[in-house]
Amino acid sequence: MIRVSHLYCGYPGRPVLRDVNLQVEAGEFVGILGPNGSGKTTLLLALTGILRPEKGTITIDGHRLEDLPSRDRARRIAVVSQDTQVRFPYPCADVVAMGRYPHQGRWRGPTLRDARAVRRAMELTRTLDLAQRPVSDISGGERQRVLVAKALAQDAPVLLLDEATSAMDVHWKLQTFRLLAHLQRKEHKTILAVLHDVNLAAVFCPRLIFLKDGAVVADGPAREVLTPATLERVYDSPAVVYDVPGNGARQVFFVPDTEGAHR
Amino acid sequence: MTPATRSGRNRLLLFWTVAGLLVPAAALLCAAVGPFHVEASRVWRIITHPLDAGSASGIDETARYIVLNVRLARVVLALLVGAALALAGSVYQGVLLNPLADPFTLGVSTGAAFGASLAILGGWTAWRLAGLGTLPLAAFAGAVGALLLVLLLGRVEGRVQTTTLVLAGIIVSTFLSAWISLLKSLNEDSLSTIVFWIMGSLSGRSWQHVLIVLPYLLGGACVIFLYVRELDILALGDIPAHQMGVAVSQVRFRLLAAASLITAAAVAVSGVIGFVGLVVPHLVRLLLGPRHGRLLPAAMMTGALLTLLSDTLARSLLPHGQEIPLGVVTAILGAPFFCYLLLHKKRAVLA
Repeated sequence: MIRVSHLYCGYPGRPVLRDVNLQVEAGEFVGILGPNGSGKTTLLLALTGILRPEKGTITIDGHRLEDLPSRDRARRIAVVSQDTQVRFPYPCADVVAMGRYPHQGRWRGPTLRDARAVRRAMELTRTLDLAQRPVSDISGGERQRVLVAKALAQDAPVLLLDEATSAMDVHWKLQTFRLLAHLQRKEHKTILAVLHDVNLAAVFCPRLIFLKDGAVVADGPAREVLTPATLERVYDSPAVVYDVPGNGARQVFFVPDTEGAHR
Repeated sequence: MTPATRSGRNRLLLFWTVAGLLVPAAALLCAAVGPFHVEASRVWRIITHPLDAGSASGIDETARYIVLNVRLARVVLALLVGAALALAGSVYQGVLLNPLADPFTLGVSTGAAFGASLAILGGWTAWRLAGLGTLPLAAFAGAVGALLLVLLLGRVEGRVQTTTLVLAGIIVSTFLSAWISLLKSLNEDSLSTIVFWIMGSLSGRSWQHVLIVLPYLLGGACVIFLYVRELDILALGDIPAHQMGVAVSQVRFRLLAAASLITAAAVAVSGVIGFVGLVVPHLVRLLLGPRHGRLLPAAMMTGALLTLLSDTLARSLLPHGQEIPLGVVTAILGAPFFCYLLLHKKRAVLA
């Protein structure tokens, strides 16, 4: 479904991604991890056509990304981006409805289908009670839920998330990831989530990709990739990996090097 | 439907009912104001004359001429210029995502003033082209020239970015202001003409001037209303808008070009009238919310009304037919009002 081959990409005078290769099949739930500046966000910007590849190609459903018209691309890939600021006090329901943009004709008002998609997205994310609140007045975590709803209303088979739950409390973080897992299973959605929380990724993402210095360091099933050696290589911090008794989830504990920190 | 959206619709209905009554009434009453005494009832009879041949009987030619060719032209021009500035201001604030943006942010006003100053100093104002003085044409050329320069400077690696655009606007404005100062100091005689023009005025304008503004306002408004949904989505930021399928650079360029041409046409006939394009969008956003489909038409209506009232004050406050520049009136009324908004509705203005 998504194929990235020999991708070199970055900003003028600052190359970031170096020879990235990866392939994501329809219905996968992939966590993308790595330290700050490792190229996670750059990868998502490349996958949505904002940054053009310097070398290499990105294809989605066999189409080169650059060849897809912007609305066509938006019908295939929806994004929850890191930037949650909205400049005017739109009611949250209006913001969610904006997600329908790539499905709407210029001369047609919102259809019943649009209204249904918006309502369903808000039900799934439990944001209906925020519907009439101005989006600039709610908390950061609430705003992230509204933006997840907007991306769901966009109704694309691929969903990319860039730190989409960073401001949510534990309850909503888990709730949101449960929802994503549900959509992956029931609706065969393809989900790529960039996140910092290794343990959250370990619980929900069957496949993990670790980036460091713009290259893929590890890529595979979560249980295979989560090893002390890989984690230490990626984060430069000693790590302990353990299985939670009772539910078998693999978790990571980064050992704070309290002795050596200020030597 | 939730109660909140219903109250939103009621507000919209109320707004348009009030505006629909207020604007024609104000136009009629303002056309009755002036040193030559004509009552509102006679103005009404003169206007309806083409529909009802008997209505204007007994009204002398002078009154008829003054009402139709002087006052109504000026009333209509004030309405159009106000609508144009408020529309352009709303678009600028929406596209540049800057609450302090107004129709003159991208240097259109100083460009126009520069063109006008050149024309005044060069003595070209005496020439006539298609029944018009060259002054509005020179101003329009200056405005468009400045805009092109700003757009050229604002392009970074082929992409137009809002911050660079605003900076380019400031640079071009400052540069042209220096030239205007130089032109002013070169010729003391035309100083007052230039200054009066820069401060904005509708004094002595005719239907010809209405014809300059109207096509640009209509054409520009058509382009802008084509992109109201994109204007809403741009509020989420460039990257999210792009990811939702909006061709951000293209849409932004078209919106800015349309708004700037509207401004250029308005400035060409009226000089620089401040605060209408800055304050009206904020005011209407507070009343009706930020959705551009509602905001833009309502802002045009409000801008038209406020400019008409300000212009009527400008030409009637001083005795003996002396006029205050319209730009001075709008600034004196607009600045305190903007302060009020800032102090009491800070969150809404600087969201």
